[in-house]
Amino acid sequence: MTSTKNIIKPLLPVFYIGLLLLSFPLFDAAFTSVLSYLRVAAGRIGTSVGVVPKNNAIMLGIYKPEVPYSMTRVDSLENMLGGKFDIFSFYQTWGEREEDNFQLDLMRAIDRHGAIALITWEPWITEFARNKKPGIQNNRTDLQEVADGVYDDYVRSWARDAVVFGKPFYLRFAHEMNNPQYPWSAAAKEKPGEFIDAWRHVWKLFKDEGAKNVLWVWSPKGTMAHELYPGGEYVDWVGTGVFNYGSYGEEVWQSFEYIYEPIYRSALRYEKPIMIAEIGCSPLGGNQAQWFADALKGLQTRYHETDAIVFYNNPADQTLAGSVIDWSVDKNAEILDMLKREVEYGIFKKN
Amino acid sequence: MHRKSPPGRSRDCISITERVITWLLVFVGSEAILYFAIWWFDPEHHVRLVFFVPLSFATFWLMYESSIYWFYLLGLKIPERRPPGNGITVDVFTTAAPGEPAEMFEKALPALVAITYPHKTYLLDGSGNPQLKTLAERFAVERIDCTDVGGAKAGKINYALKQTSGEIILVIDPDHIAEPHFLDTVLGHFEDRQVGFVQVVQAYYNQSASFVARAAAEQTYGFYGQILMGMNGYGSPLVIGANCTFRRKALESIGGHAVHLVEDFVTSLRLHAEGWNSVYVPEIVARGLVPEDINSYFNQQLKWATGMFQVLFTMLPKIVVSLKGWQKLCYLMSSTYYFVGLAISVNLVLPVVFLFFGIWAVEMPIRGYMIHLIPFAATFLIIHRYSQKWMRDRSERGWQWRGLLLKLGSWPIYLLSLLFAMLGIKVSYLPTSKKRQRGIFPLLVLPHILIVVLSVASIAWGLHSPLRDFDGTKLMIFFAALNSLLMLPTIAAAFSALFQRGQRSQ
Repeated sequence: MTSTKNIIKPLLPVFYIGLLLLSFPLFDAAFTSVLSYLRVAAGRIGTSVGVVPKNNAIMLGIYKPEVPYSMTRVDSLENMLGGKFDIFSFYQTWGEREEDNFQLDLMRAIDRHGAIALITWEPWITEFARNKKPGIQNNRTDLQEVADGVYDDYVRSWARDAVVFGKPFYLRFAHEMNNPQYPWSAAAKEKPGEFIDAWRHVWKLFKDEGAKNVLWVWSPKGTMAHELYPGGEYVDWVGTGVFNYGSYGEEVWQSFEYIYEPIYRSALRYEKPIMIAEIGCSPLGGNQAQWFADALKGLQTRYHETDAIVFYNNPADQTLAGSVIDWSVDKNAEILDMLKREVEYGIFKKN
Repeated sequence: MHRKSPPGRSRDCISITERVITWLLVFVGSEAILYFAIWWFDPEHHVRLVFFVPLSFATFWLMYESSIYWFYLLGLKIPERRPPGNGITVDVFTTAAPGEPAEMFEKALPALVAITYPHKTYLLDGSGNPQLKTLAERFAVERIDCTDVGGAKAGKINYALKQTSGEIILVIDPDHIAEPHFLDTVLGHFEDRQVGFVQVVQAYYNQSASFVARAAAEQTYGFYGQILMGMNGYGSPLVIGANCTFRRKALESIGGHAVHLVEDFVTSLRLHAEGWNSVYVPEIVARGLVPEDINSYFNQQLKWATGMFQVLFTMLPKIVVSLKGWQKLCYLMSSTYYFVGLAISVNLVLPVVFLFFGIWAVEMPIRGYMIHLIPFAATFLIIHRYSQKWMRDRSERGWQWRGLLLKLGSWPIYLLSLLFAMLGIKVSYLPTSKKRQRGIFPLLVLPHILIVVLSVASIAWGLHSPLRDFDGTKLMIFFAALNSLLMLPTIAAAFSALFQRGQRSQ
């Protein structure tokens, strides 16, 4: 008796630590499910409309080139899916032309449809008279000028119209500010402080004008460019784009998880709702429908903090290399069937 | 003769159900620490090593401290009651140092004489106070003149050992009032020839005298409750200098009582290394005095902490091999206890550094931090609450928040002790003050005031610096504010004489 006891006793700590490590996944899973239960319960109590989706569902959005100018085709698409989109995305540049102003009518059309607009607001400066002097080739956006107030008149009048509109909408200002192909990004890369100053300046102008209905989406390309983050107070959502180019050009087929995992992990630190503001998969080089199915499954099982996903449904996207990529999803019956099922299962907000 | 349930002892054994529940809770708690640690050391977090290392030390030291408590809970053992046989010869020693008030002895000596088991009482008198001589004669206590004996209390004990012959020796501090059944409680355990000493609870009768007294007493509740009971399970209850009963042979085998700043700790270390066993009886059979003012309390803590660090640095490495398995762990954990001062001070300083200079130790999402801390915090609170049932007295149950506040306020003392021990600076052995020291002690709380001033200034600075938009800033402002609040009770204790206007607090 005593001899067996003497052998077992020194082994007790080893046994304890072994059991501890072996059963850790169990503990992890148990606590995670307690947490997600609490999250759902908190979601039921209610979060403010438009900021975060209710009931732990994901907000579904789409960019279609003709929306919001024409809503008829979107209606038939929604009827087919048996649900309604939460977000309609469109793109606007800065400038002094009529189309560069706040598009009150379009915004009201989206609102009447029961959805929220996502405006990707691009600070090009070539459409301002002061930059159209002959002989000046440089079309780079000088962010220091933005921060210094050179474009305040334009920004303020845009913001005033946003106040008139009054309903919440997402404003994805100066997206992909870390992508050198955009004129507002090169400057940002050299001097992150200039970008942050410009962002905060624009944000303050909106605040000045009383535009409280704006949800600011800070949306870099790829993993989060932390040095360009303007600060939690100035950002409501963190956005990103996820594109699988398939076998276009030199590219190779990449899974959703492969692209999104590092982006998602880097975005968690901001503790903001995360929006995939553009998602697209090439029809060439793999199974497009399966890729989207994996993406939606990923959002439900792994990437819980992702609260919105917006399809980049552009049938003819001009790449810089000169080729044209078809990112559309509304022509692929398999994708539509899959989406229809997801709407039925209720991962998206139902009507 | 033997009462069926002596006062001060609420439970006799621990049931199987209680053991199972404790094991489950501790297991879940261990998982919770692992859960937090895996997240904390996630390579995804941007860290600045120079600050991240101390911050990690501070964070995990506090978790380690609670897991020590859990460890002792798993070992809880309450010894069986053993009535003593007849004919054991017992000597009772109490010591007197210069400056100790005669009134104290007027209460203590008759209580010692009144202990029912036959014994001889000795006053080891080094006070040079003629009043004590008279008192000894009055109560028929044998007085051993120790006026010229060096080595503080231990020196007197060793001197007296040579002039007496009892098999068993009870050493009790003169501030303690012994109960008549003191010896009946402990003597039975010496029937086991391997038992070298038997320790009982150290309890107090003046804990309601002041905030400091209550807080200092609260700090000992868990120690004389779950921790020593746990040590009993692991075969290493310690000697507590105030009221320990020794076997003469055991003391003689180690060349007498150790002379050291923490003489009791060293004595038990040597006795255990010599192969003697010990027993902890969680019963209150005497009550003594706990420091009532911040000056006495800090002096006591300085003495203990410096002594413990000295043992850790110089003595333990040599002697540790002669200890048994669990004893090694217990002594290592006891002698490293006062590193807590280092952990507290890191937590006090880092928010200030962050807010003033924008130097962060680690970048991690606040929500993630909270979420990963929840399991630990929850199990910590549940285990603390559950284990209150093993407190020796119902009145001791609770959160002991005063004790915690005073401990958080003791960090400069513990840092100083570490410094003293590392530089080999000597701290003189003086008995812990038995008299309340009146007055205010602004110098003692200068570090605390400094921390409050710096924290408040850093909050003001943080609110106006370019950093104010940074996500971590709000958290750091919260910590700086919390830190200042936590220092306030200690500061108030140092100035408490101002509020009392000379009245005696009840």
